[in-house]
Amino acid sequence: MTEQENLQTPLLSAQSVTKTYGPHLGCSDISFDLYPGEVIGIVGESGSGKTTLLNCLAGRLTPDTGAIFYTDRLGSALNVHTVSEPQRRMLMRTDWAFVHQHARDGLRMTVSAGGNVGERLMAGGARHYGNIREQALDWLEKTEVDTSRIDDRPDTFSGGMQQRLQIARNLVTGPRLVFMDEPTGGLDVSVQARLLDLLRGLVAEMGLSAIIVTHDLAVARLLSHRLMVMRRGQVVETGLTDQVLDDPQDAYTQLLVSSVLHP
Amino acid sequence: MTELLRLTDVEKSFTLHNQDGITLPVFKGLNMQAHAGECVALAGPSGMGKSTLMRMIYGNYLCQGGKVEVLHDGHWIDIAKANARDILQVRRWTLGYISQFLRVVPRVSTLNVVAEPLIARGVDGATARDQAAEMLTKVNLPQSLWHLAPATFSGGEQQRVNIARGFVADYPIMLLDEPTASLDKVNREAVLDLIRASKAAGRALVGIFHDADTRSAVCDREFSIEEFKVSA
Repeated sequence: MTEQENLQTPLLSAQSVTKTYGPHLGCSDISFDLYPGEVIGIVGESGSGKTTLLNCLAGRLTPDTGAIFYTDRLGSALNVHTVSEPQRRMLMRTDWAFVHQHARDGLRMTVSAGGNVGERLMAGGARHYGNIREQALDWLEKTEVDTSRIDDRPDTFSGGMQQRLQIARNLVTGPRLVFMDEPTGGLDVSVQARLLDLLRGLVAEMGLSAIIVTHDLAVARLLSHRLMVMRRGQVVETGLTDQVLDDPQDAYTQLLVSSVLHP
Repeated sequence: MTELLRLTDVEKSFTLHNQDGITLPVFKGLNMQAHAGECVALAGPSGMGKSTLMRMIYGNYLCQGGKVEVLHDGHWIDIAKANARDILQVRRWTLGYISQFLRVVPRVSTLNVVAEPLIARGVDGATARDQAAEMLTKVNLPQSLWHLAPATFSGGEQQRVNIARGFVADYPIMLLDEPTASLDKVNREAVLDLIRASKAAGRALVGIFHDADTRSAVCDREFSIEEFKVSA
């Protein structure tokens, strides 16, 4: 496939994805396409189903109905939930990355910072210790983690540092698609700004595609090209990020946008 | 003159679902064109919808009806119907917009803020920053500020950063929302020079200028929104 054709083929395609928890609705009948280099934000209040959707998309939860297709580096469309387990694990280690809201869910707290970054490289097949350490150092530098802390365990790090380390661990293998669940949640605003700037730069520089779940509309505005607004498990509005935020059409989106405090 | 922008039968209203579902009509049946090499002033009193129209052309506001066509890469694209990806392409290459207020990522330096539209097009960082520096010089922004983030700048300085960012990428169509509002005479003249140069280079400009002197200095004609106004 040429690069031009590549850009016309969705990287990830969700088709009528529904997931319920017993009688409770997670997300219902959700379809969309994510194209290479595109960042989609999913916003909505707590309980709107955005994290459920993200987990389905990332192959961490199995939808009740519907399907999710991922186009791999060779151009073949893989059904995320019916590929073989080793194939899916390989995807998660190489092509995909998942940044959790709480860094401790995405890091191994008892392994050094360098180990955390190196581990993912080794899972992808890297074996040369010197190269692995060099790449780990390079990524700590990129994510602005003090490189002298490479041998320290992340449980001695601040929240902001842990989050940057989690990002380093995730991006070191050069993934094509990054899932993020409230990446700036729980951080001080000054730390948030730094992280946002970092994420934005990395996404642009690496040409990453990303799906970002956040309840923070300012984060969505800065990071995403397109926005999906969720309420009670459904997508109520979708479009260009600044258009959805500046001229919302749906009653719920209007409420959401008008409820934000502007300091 | 080559037509670059064409609005046909454009309609806008706002429905406020959380305020008793009230609908505020703005305008209806609006037709307008802009051609290569001209600067069109949107005229009319405040509240008439001048900024709204500008945002609709940029795809920031939706149209309730009609077409907003932009000549992009040799083809006409209807912004009112285009999908988000196509609008982003049009914004990257064809359509520039200088809003009244600068909105940027917190920590980013002025030089990088201005270079960003070029970097988004794939220009390498060093070249983009060189061109950004050139543009910042043209709008008289002191070099001592280039490496600082613009958040703490004065209104006039921020506006000049915004203008430099808008003009750095040579968009064939430029939308200007009061680009000279908070500038003194010298700096206003610098912006007017940029507008004149853009016209000479065959770009189409559509602007809102409250100051009559500015209007008469650079605008070729006025377009009055008032006749398309729908009263509430």
